[in-house]
Amino acid sequence: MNTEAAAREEFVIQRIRSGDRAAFEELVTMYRNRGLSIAYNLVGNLEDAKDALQDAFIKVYLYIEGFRGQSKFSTWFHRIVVNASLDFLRKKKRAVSVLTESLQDNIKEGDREISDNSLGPARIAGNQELNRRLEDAIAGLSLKQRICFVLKHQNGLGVREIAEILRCRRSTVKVHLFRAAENLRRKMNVYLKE
Amino acid sequence: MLRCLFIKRKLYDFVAGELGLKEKAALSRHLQVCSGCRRKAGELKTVFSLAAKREKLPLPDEAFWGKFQVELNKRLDQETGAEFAPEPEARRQMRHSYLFRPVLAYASVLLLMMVTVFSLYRYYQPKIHAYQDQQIVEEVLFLEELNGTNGTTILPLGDAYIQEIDIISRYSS
Repeated sequence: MNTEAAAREEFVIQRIRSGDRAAFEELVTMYRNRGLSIAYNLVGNLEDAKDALQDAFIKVYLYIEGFRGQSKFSTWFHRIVVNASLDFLRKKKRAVSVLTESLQDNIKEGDREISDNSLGPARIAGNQELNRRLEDAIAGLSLKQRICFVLKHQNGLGVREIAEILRCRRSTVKVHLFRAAENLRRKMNVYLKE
Repeated sequence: MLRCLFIKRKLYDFVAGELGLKEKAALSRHLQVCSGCRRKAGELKTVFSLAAKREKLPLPDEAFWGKFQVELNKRLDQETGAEFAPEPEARRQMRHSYLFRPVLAYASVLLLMMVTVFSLYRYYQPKIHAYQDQQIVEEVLFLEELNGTNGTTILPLGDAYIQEIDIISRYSS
């Protein structure tokens, strides 16, 4: 973000603090796309992502006083979006069901692999199928591994920013990323055999 | 084997492109001779590539964001306790009605109180009653005087009453 954009953002935040709803709408316009992308990658569908993002923006408006400028606003906003998405999943009790379903799918796939060794890339119809397998594999990761992987590899955030979002050390994020990648590689290697 | 275990920890950084030049060169040399690590590196690369190329969220159009903003405003109004903002004219009328409603109520109560006090004042005014009583007594005494009674005789009704009226009209004319 250049200096002018940063100054504009600071000005908008100040106006929101004084209760200016028009300024809030401007902030929504500035951050809605990246917010929706993160929420979508965490909750899995557009409608739920929209609701989670609205929750996040409401929290931003209500708790803007809590932003003291110690980190970038984008980092603070991303943290709120991640938390709102996880809260949304908890509320809808989808987190558990999605993880359970994906784990069950993985177990079934594992059983099929043992009984049917011919299952390989030739049996899978193209990239779409591979993407679905990857989505299932990502959904089967632990929550922190999943958040780290999604933010890094699907939303393009850096390790440092992810560490600030999750309020943990960079080394911790790297461990989560390494384990996530290793788990995904193991789950996907059946389909990646050349 | 120990070498491969060490390399495995660095494979993620290697594939993600986050290794320094020196480490990258050392790891590349190892991968040239170790097929197991090379295979793992290839699989990781494919996973990352799939994740990056994964079907992206299509950018929503302005209609989506317009609806999003309207819903957000409604939810925000609910959260902050404010009513959903009506049209300015309607809001002005509403403000006026809220302004005049208590004024009308106070005026009605004041009027009711004034009427009550005035009625009570009229009813309990002692001078008025005394004056009226005095008038009645004077009239009675005057009639008795005309009739020649001393106030103890009760006039019979009928002819006497008519006679009394005649006397009054005679004197008054």
